Amino acid sequence: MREIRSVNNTLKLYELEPEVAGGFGENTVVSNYDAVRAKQERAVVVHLHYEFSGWLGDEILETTPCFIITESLACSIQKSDLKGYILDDVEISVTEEFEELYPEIVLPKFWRIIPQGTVEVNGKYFRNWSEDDFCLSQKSVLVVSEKALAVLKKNKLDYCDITALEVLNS
Amino acid sequence: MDELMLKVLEDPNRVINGEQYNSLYKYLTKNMGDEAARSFLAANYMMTQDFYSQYVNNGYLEQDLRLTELNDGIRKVEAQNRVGALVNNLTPEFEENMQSQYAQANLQAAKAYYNSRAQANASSEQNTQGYSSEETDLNYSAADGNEKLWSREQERRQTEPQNNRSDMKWSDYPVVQDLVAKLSSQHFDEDGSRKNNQEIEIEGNVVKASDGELVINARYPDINIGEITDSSLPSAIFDKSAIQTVADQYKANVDKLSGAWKYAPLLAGATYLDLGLPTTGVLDKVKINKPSIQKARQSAEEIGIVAKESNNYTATFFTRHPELEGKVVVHHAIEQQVLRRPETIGLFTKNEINAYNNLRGIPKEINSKLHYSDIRKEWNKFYRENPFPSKDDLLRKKQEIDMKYGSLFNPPIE
Repeated sequence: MREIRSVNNTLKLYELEPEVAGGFGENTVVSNYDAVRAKQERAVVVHLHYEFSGWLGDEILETTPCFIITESLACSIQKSDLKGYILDDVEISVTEEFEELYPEIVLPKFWRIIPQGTVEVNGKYFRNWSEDDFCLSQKSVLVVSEKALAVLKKNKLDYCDITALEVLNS
Repeated sequence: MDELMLKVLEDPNRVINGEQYNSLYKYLTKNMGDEAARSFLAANYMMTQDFYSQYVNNGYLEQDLRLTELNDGIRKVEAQNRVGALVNNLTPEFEENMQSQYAQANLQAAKAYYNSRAQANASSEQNTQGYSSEETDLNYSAADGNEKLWSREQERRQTEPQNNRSDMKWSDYPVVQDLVAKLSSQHFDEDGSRKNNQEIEIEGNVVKASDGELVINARYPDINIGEITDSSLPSAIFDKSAIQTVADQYKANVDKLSGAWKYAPLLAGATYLDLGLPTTGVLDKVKINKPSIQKARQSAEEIGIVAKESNNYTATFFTRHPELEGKVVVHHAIEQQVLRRPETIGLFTKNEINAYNNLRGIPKEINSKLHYSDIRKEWNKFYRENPFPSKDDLLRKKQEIDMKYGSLFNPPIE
């Protein structure tokens, strides 16, 4: 973890900015392509093809608006009583650059994790939390509960930026 | 007319002559409007090679591209970028000469039109290619360099009601539904089984017959243009000999080899839909990575009518900096994934992304953290906070990252 900021108060959520090890591969399928192009709707990714161009080893990775986790982390999450997520298949591949630079790396199996909860984040504050452990903010940032963060931290999470959020008391 | 359409729809080779095509075009335009008629014809491959020869040789294809820009309310560069993204790229030389080609093509089109008008019935409101006199007059003016009419036309098209370009699929039009119903009754019993007892399976729009042949097209109900798949294309037409023939035809008329690639699959039997030319509004629904298009591209490269794609960006970089080979990792200043993200597709061509001025050398010892952590995160945050960036937005972000990390690059960015 690089940084944990503004820690005080009781109820806290954590905004995560995971390692970005790659991006959309060519087999990624977006169901609302027309609407994205014509009406500027946010893309709805129904099949994620994550193409690695490098990997620093973190077990949760992002390419906005999608997140993937290693199988090991997926098992930890499934064994916990965390809620507010769906695990889905993800297609994985590596770029030529990756093959050249890291011929020794064998990627583990990855799963796509789709947060189901919602929360409104404003600066370092949040409100209208759905009480799920895995949430997406209005700007597609991953926000997790303290309990979820504890599970994530048992796995490799060295390049994930973590920002503590406090509840906004109106 | 219904009989003619049925005949054409029934004919697996879609062989019609130019006269029949024009009759159908006019009939469909009257019943469906211009946009839907064109997409209907395109989706059914009702373009004869003879027609396309005339179409291209008379410059109508270029003319259509120009009209398309106005129709879709997009700038020429955007139209080209969109086309470029779909067929991968056009060469810079082609793009640079596009404007003069338009002018020449429009002039040819106008002359052909006036010649044909003089020979044909003077009272006809439309020429034999189905273009209105208004459009052709417009082109004639454009050929003379008079841009005023174009501007006026652009304004008119942007302000007029868009009813004719609604989201309605052509399969929604009564005239098509009637035809499909007639065809269905010829081929299927009321319970949906095939009349000749041939076993078939229907999955979505794909009809799989017992002999294993995949059939998918407008002969069957519920066709959705968005669902057209590669199996709907007569992929055999993309072989080398077809493209070679077409290339020769094209070369004989236009001294622009880079353009031949674009026309080759068209003349070989592909359609607007296959190429993704931005004419109808349904094109975005068609997958851009059709294997048949890629195959056509490959054939075109092998024949030598189009330059090979510049995928080898590391070679591009190390040709300029041989002393850095083995010392730096080559990184794209604007990431390659802008070619794949739905919100940025079409803003850049592959050649632009792999061009030297978009490449940066990052020393190997700091590559991991700088490249895979800091810079990628910056871009990810940018996509998140700017979900629909313009080309300028992306270029500005590139500059921002260059200013922030440029001193660490090798060679450094001042």
